Parts: sequence; C-alpha cells; structure tokens
Amino acid sequence: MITLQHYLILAAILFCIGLYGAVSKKNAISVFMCIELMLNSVNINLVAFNRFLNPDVLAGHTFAIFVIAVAACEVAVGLAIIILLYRHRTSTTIDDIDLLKW
Amino acid sequence: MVTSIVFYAVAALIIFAALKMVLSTNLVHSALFMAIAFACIAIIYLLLNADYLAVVQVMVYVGAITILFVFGVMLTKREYIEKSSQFNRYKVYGAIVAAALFIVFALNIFNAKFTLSTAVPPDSTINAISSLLLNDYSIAFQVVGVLLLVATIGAIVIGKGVKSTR
Amino acid sequence: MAENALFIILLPLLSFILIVFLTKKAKMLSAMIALAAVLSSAVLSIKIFIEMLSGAEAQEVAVNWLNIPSVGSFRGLEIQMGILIDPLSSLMLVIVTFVATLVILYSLGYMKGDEGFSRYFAYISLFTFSMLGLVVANNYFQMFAFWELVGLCSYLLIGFWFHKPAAADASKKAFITNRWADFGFMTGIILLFVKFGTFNFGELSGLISGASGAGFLALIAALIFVGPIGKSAQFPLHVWLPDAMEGPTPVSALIHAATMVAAGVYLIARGFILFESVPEVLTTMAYIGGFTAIFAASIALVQDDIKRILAFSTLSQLGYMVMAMGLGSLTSGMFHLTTHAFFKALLFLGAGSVIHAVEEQNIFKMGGLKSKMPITTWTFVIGSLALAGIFPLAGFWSKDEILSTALSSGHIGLYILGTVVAFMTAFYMFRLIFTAFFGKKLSDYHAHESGWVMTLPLILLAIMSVLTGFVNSPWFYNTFGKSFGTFIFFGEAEAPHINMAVAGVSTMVALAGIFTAWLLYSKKIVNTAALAKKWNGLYMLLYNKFYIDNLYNWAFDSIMLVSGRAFDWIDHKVIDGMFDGFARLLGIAGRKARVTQTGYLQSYALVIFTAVVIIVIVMSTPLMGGALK
Repeated sequence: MITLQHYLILAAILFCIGLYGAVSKKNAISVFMCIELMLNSVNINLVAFNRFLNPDVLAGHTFAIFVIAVAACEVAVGLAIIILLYRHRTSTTIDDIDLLKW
Repeated sequence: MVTSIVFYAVAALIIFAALKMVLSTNLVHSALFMAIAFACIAIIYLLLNADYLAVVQVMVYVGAITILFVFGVMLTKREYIEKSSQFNRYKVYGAIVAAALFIVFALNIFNAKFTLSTAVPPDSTINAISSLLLNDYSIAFQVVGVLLLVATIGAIVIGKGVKSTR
Repeated sequence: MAENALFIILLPLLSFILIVFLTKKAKMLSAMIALAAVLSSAVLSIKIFIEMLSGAEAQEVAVNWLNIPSVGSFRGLEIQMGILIDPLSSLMLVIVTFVATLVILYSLGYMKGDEGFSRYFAYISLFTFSMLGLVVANNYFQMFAFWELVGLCSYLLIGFWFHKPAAADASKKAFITNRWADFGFMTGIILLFVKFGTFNFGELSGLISGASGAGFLALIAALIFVGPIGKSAQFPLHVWLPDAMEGPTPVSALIHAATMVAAGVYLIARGFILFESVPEVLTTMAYIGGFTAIFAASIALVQDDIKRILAFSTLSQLGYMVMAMGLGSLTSGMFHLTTHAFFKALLFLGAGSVIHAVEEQNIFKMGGLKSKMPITTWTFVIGSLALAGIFPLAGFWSKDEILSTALSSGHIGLYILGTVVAFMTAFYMFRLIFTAFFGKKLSDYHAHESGWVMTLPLILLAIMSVLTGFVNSPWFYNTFGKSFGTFIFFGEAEAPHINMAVAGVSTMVALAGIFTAWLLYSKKIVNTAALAKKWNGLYMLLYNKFYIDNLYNWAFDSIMLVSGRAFDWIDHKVIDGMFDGFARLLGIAGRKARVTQTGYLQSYALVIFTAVVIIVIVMSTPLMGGALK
C-alpha cells in the first residue's frame, strides 16, 4: 500500500541529493542539473499532496505545470549565460568566474 | 499490489539515477542519468493519476531540457570530458548537511498527521487542469506566457553576444 | 565691612592677572601695580581692624558654591565660599597686608635687575591673594583650597630661580612635604564632614561642644593637626623650611617668616574648639611644639649661613607658637604670631640687605658691617633683641606669656624647655651679630648701605617690633581698658598680667645668652673652631640637622621609589596589558570570523541550508507547535 509518506520521502531524498550536488560540484552545468533535480522533487511533492489530500480540485497539477514552465525558461536563460561566460573565460568552473573579486 | 512493486522499482531507479548523476565526474554521463531520472519521474506521475502531467514531463524535461543541457555541454568544450565535473572542497560538509536535512524531513513527514481525503480524482485531468488554468489562474497563465517569450528573447540576445566593433 | 573684605582679597588677584596678561614686559609698571594693590588692601584691612576694635560685631557672608541635595540615605553636600570677619581674621588681615606691602616695597630694590622681575611681583600678588583668602575663610573647605594655593605660591617662589638646581629641588621638597601634611588635613576634614555634615566654622562650634564619640573626634583632631605640622614646619615635617631659603630673601621674609608658616597656627586658632574638646591632642601638640623649638634651636647654634640661622630660628619660634596653642592658650599663641611676624620679617629683610650688599651668605666671611651699613645693623640688633625677649621689646611680652602659661598649667618640663630655648635663641642670634656685624672684616668684600627702598621697611618694622609688645601689657590695659587678650581670646578674655618670677628668669637667661655669645665671638676667650673639633661628633650631628634629611632621602629611595616602580609595573603590564590584550583579542576574533567570508557562492548556500536544518529542527519541536517530541 503506497501512502502519501512514500511519495514525500521519495521527494525528500531527491531534494537532498540535488542539494548535495548543487553545493559540491565545481562545474556550473552540473550545478544547474542538480537544481533541475530539486525542482522535480518539488513537483512530485505537489502532485502527491494534491492526489492524497484533495483530489477534487487539481490545483497541485496546475502549480506543477507552472513550475515546469518557469524551470524551462530558467534553463534557457541560464545556459545562455554559461555559454557566454565560457566564451570569455574558456572555462565553466565556478572558481574561475571571479572578475568581481579583488 | 502491482502499484507497490512498480513504485518501489521506479523509486529505486530514480534514486540510483540521481546518485549517479551527482557523483559522476563525466558531464555527459550526468546528463544521461538526468534524462533517466526525469523519465522515471514521469512514471511516478502516472502512478499518481497525473496523466497529463506525465506527458508534459516527458515532453518538456526529457525532450527539451535534457537536449538543452547536452547542447550546453557540447558548446563548452574542455580538455578531458571524464574529469569535467569535479567536486569542490565542500564535498564532505555538503553531504553532512544534505543528510541532516533529509533526516529532519523524514522525521517531520512521519510525525505529521495528514487528513486523507476519500474523494476520487477526475477521469480526465486535462479537462480539470485546463478549466483551472483558463478560469481561476488565467492571469498567472498569461504571465507565464509572457515569461516564456521574455526568456526566449533573452536567451537569444545573451547567446548572440555583443558586437565588439560597430 | 565684609564687602570691603572682598576688595581686600580681590585686589591682589587683580594685580596678578594684570601682570601676567598685560604688563609682563613693563617691569616697573608691574611692580607698581602690585604695590598699589597690596597697599590698598592694607589700608582697607586697617579700616576693618579699627572697626572691629571699636566693638563691631563679627560678620559672615557666604554664597553656596556647591549644593548637592540629600537623596534618600545619601547625605547631601553643601560647600560654601564665604568671608568671616571677626577679631582673629581682622588681625591676620592687617599682619598679612602690612608685611606684604613692606616686602613689596623692599623687593623694588632687592630684585632690581633680575630678569624675572615682573614674574616675581605676579607671584607675590598671587600669594597675597591666597593668604588673604585663607585668613577670611569661613569654612574648612575654603580654607583647605586656599591652603593648597598658598603651598603652590610657595613652590613658585622658592623655585623662583628655577635654573638653579638647588632651588628647583627645594621647591619640590617643600611642595611634596606639604602634600603629605595636606593629605592628613584633607582626611581630617572629610571625616569631620562625615561626622557633623558641615564645614562651616560657626555651625561646627555649636555641634562639636555637645558631640559624642570622643575617639573619633580625637582622630579627626589629630588628622587636622597634621596640616599645621606640615605648613608650620613642626617636627617631623620641618625639613622643607631650611631648604626654602633658596628663594629670594624677601620671599623668605614674607612667606617663611611672617605669613604662610603662620597659617598653620592660624588654623589651630580657628578650629580651636575642636582641639580643645580633645585634651590628649592638645597635649601632644604642646610637646611636638616644644620638641621642635629645642630641636631647631640646637641646630641653629652651629649653622654658618645667615639665612639658615634665621630659618631654624623661625622653626623654633613656630614651635613656641604651637606649644602655646597646645597648652590651651589661644591668646598667647596668636600674640607670639603677631610679634614674631614683625621682628622675623625685619630680621630676614635685614639679612637680605646684607646679602644684597656683600653677595655672600656665610657669616664667617662677613664681619665689621657696622661701619658700612649702620641702619641695617641697628635695625637687625633691635630685631634680635626682640627675638631674644629682652624687656621692653615685643618678644619679651609674647614669650613671657607662653612661658607663664606653661608654668601655670603645670607643664614644668615644657617650661624648662622653653627657658632653655630662650637661652639658645639669644645665643645664636648674637653669635650671628657679633660675627657678622661687629668685629673685624673676615674676608674681602664691598659693602654699602642699601637705598631708602630697602631701609625704610627695616625702620618701620623695627618700630613695630618695639611697640607691638605693649598691646598686651598691664599699662596698656589699665590705660585703655583693652588689650590683646580681650580682643583675641578663647573662652573668656584674658587680662594681661606679668608673672614677675617668670619674667625675671627669662630676662636673665636671655642676657646670659647674649653674654656667652659676646664672650665666645667678640672677646674670643675660647677658640670656637677648636671646640668644634673636640666635640666633632656632636658638632657634625647638629650641623647636618641631625641627619634627618639623609634619613628621609634613604626612606624615599628605598620605599617610595621602589613602590613607585612596582605600581608603574602594574600600570604598564597589568592594566595596559589588559586593555591591549582586549584589543588584541578583538583582532584575533576578527581574523577568525573573517574566514566565513569566502566569497564562494556554494559555501554561502551551505550556510543557508545549515540554517534551514536548524530552523526546521527548532520549529518542529513541540514548543513551536510542531509534532516531534
């Protein structure tokens, strides 16, 4: 019997894995990918809550659609920035993006 | 019964894919495993009676975003692809924090009291979602449309770069 | 009357300010300003004195200078600044201003050509202001403030020729010795305030007479007496007065003969009710005074510097005054103060005249001055006769009073001591006279009589030395119905009378002293140099002032400097170290805290998520409404 807690735990695991990747990877694209993973885990959370607590009104689904849309925009713009950075610095390692540091 | 088996299998697969994605030092491998994870999440959606959302997940995430990432990896060349995604100095500390966060979440989840409802989800989710989108959340819908436009134009402008000479 | 007193005090202050700020370059003008100011003060003082003599009531004017009201259990503090005119203060006003005027007149001649001419008159004016303020003070606090101010002026004037190391050292010695005494004085005043709640003399006299707690009162009286021990140079704080002779001679005349050193005696007179209520302190005072008298007189026997002889003589006479006070007779103490002021000032000014002419201070290098400087010589002789106590000069009457008080109050030991000191006084003064003024010229010097500026004060003071004594004689009392004793007294007025036995003994003793000096130094029947060699130990002991100065030096070096160095170490290492260490601690803490500012985005994200973990833990506990245990 799969209960709400199962889905929530799954979402939590995914979130924490994504978090770990986001803080400990050097490459900017890797960090980005982990952020996408975190967004997905949030989506699972939303849909699970909707399904188990209030299946009549599909507000959770709607919210999840919005999250997907915004994530897509974010990826587009973010990757454009990373490519631009790469053009200037020939590197996507986060440590090398230090023009503003003294 | 079947749902349980499917759920546990898919969940295991997702977790495995996610872990491999984070722990791998090869960027292309990371992208691949990310795609696998997204696809399996779509199956989870199906288990949750979110058919429309599953399809959207596959189309957008697996179909578009993963490709975008692969393009990004391709356009940012480096010497050794095997060593392209290294760990920084917070490898251990980050793991500790993530683990702590998970433990805290788990404790809360298990101790929370949810009032489960016995209602039945609608047959056709897409009808319900569309009625919500176009009636209750129509403004947000329009705004997201504008946001997509802005993001597209922005990505193009940034990607094109600034002309160095006039 | 009290308003006039305000002018008396402020005119010298005005003179000081004018000289310091305006007329420093114009030397003669500065001197004239000083002279005019003090002369006016003298005239006003005489006016007040005459008013008091004709029976005016004592008057007191005061303003509240500091008023902290009582709050709850904290006693408030009320300090006044005021002027008290009564017989005692009016007498002192006359003495101070009169002697100051004569000294300033004298200084016009003495200090001529000195490059610090204006500065000298500025300091003298400041001193006069301070002394007058002390004399008219109506409460202990104001008296203490002016007491310190007088000490400051003494420092400035002793060290007037500050580029002379001996003078600089002497001024410091005077100030520091007085500081010791003033510490005791201040403590006494504070305790007085703690016990009675007021500083005012009038209020205190009412409170003290019915006061309980004799032990505490004795402590207060003893502490307040420590002040006069320093200021009036009693043993053991007498060491500064001989060294103070490094200053100009008119300064010695004004400050260290007539006025400042008398301030201690004046304080005892002012606060006499306090001392009188504690008889043990009075007896101690008498014995300290008596001991000082004989101690100083014995040292004076062998000194060869003319000013040093006079300094030790002053010490000895101050001992007499304090002894008189200690025997309970305020009248005789103040009377001796008055007569002493005049003839000691005369002696000092005369010595100054000699020094100015001969430019030598050792009496054994003088000799035969009589022919060259007649006025100086004869006024000096008159002063010495007065000091020795020969009838009918001033010293006879005052010294006689003291001796008869000693005898009648049963202190036979002090009486004998006083008589012995009378003998020694006559001896050393006439030793000085026979060596320096009479006889042959002992060395090569050029001498001429000083100008009228210097000899006029000598003559005036000589007249005063002759006449002043009579105001406390029976003839005066029978003629005018008043005498010194009816004007200034404590308790009930004392009509003067002569105890013939005491008078006879003291006169004989004085004449014997003069005769012995004549034998030894004029006729030279015994070779004094050989006598000194034979009794070398005793001679060296007396000549070196009983080695007290060396003792103090040693004590100072071994105790004070060592403890000073210890405190300095504490100040540098402990206290400064504490603060420096605190600052260093802040620096270290800053350096450690800087580490969190990595500039690295992901570390910031980690910190945020660490905070999130903590917040979730906190919020999910039952206290915050969560469900976890």
